[in-house]
Amino acid sequence: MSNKVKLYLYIFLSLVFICVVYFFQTQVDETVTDVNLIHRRIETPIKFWMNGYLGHFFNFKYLGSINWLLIPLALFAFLKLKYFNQEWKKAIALAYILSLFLISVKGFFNARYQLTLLPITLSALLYFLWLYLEHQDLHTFKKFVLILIVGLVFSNDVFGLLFLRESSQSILQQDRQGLVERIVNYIDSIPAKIAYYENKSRTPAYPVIDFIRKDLPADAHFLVNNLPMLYYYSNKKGIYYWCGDDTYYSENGRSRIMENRSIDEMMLFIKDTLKCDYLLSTPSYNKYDPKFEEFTKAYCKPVFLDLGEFAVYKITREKGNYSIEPMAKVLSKRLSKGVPPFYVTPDDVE
Amino acid sequence: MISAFFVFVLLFVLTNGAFSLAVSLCLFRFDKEKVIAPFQKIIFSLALGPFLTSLLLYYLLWLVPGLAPITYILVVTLFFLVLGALNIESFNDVFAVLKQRLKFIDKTKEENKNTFLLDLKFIKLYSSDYTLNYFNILSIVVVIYICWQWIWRLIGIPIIGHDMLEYAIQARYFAQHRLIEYVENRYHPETEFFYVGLHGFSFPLLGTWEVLFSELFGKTENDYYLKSITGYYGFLIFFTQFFWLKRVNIWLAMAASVILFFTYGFFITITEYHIDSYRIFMIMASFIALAYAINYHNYLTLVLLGVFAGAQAFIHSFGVFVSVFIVMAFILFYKNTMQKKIIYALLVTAIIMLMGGIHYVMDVLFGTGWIFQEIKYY
Repeated sequence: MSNKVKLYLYIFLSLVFICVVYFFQTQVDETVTDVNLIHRRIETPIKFWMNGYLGHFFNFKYLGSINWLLIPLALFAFLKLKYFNQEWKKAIALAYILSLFLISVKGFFNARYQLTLLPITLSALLYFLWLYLEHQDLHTFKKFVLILIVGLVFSNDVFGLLFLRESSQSILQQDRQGLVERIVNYIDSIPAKIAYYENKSRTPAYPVIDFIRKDLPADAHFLVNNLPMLYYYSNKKGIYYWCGDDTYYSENGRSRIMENRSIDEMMLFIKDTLKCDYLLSTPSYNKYDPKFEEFTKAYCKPVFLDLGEFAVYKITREKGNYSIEPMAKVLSKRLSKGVPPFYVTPDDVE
Repeated sequence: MISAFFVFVLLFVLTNGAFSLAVSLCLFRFDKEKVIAPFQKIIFSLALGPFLTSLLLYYLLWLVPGLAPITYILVVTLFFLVLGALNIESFNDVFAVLKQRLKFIDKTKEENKNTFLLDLKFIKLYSSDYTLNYFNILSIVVVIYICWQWIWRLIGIPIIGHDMLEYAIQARYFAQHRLIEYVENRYHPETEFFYVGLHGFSFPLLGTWEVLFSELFGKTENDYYLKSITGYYGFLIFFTQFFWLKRVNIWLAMAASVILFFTYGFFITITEYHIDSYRIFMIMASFIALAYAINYHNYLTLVLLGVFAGAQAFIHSFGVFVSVFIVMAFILFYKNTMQKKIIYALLVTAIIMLMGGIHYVMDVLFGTGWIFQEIKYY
């Protein structure tokens, strides 16, 4: 088989392999409801391996569809070219492999960690590819192969935008449209998106912070569900909390709110012991723990919602059946039409 | 009345310009054998200016806390002034490189045919090779787009990401109290915020540096500089990758830049404010320093290895492990007697500790316990 034919064969096999990975990447397990796993796209065992442990090579959405090529190309350089014959090359290879191993084992949960070695991986794989083409006497194919790879990167971005969305909500809503439907929907949404961004530039970054500063009492005390902006952009105080781990922080360290408490007891604890009158959170964050979401529905009356999904709830003593849905619907209408203001208060619903 | 943005520009020129220049004078002076490529030395210097600023501030706020903001600004500035003055003899070397880089290149000349904006050279838009012209235009578009994004975001987009907000809050806390201490719980009584971050303080300290500097001009809420770090180190990553691959082939270098830029996660990394481009660049630099240290047996390359390995450790906890791997690789592959290997490895380790590694020792012994902390729920 000539080198030219071999190259075409490798390109064909690579494209097939990429399609197979895409197939697994787009699979959705409808029985999984853990928002955290869905959001990170590691909710099925195979996706856990591909986007988690082996994310540096196969998490196509964030790291591109070509990183895995480093494996065969580095093997080629190692075995055929005896490339790693100098001490400095061996040293870098060892430091790289150990770092990669650590990222795989400890950083699998966060795509940001998988990015750590990306510039080195890309540089190395392109360099080894170059060496391969030179070794196989395929000089005239260099530009073609590089353009092909650039094309793969572009098309991966488009594919990721359309099919590898990390939006937990859309997946939870079983949003599984076909190819044509997705493209048509995406194109349909473009005018509203443009209007939204045009208006957004004239909207304060955090309408919720404006609301907190201007419309709430000076001594309003918050339960802050993982939204540190309160501390940075306002002079309000608040207990820093994350419902996903049921941990709040104080000068003594960490403690629990939900553990061993019913939602009624939670309300009493938050109101009387922690002295919190308001909750700053997002509807999506509330979902990270079903019990916390239940608590918000029972004791937290939504008083503000903005385009960033940031919501302020008044924590009440009266048990009710509170929902942010009506406010979300009004906001959604405004956003789809691109008509400000991009925040809603209960008055807008009534 | 000086605008907040102008204060940022002043700070940027001082820290990333003047301080980096002082570092480059030092690097050029001590690289007598000229083993490090001039352009790489410039990139190293541009990276080390801000980093060393944060490191000095760390030691000052830890060891000499509670002084007036102007004192910290003056001490840090004085350090770089002395560093520059002591190495002023290499000014001509640095200037020659900068002059060569910053002059307007005439692309019609054969020797300039393969020169691009990513070489940090200004260019005229013409080449007899049309394909290279396209790359030329593409490189200009990419660089202009990144610059535009960088400035537009700096002016128009506030800090919104969760982690970035936590760093920024901690930065202000350091500036407000002018104190770094090792305590079990990093709790801010004024706001009831609790800093859960386990990483070294280099990144938040850049924000502290900005607050202290801006306070001199009455701009207490500036965070332009902290925001600028993302894009700044993003540029350095591009320049480094381009520089090394261009040595192989210009097509390869251009394609690599385009591929890196359009990889979604990386695009996010260099546009949305975060610590990542800062730590990723330092990891790249420490790998390059490792190659230099093993290839060229001299003290400068050993010191640089320690500096960059320490820098990426002081920026992020992950870097601590990378620095261990780097020292391991150094011991295994550095060609010398076992005795010298150990001595040099100890030297590199000592520099890593000095460059911020000590933070983790202090945090384990007297602070939060770092990753060894036993999380207790009271």
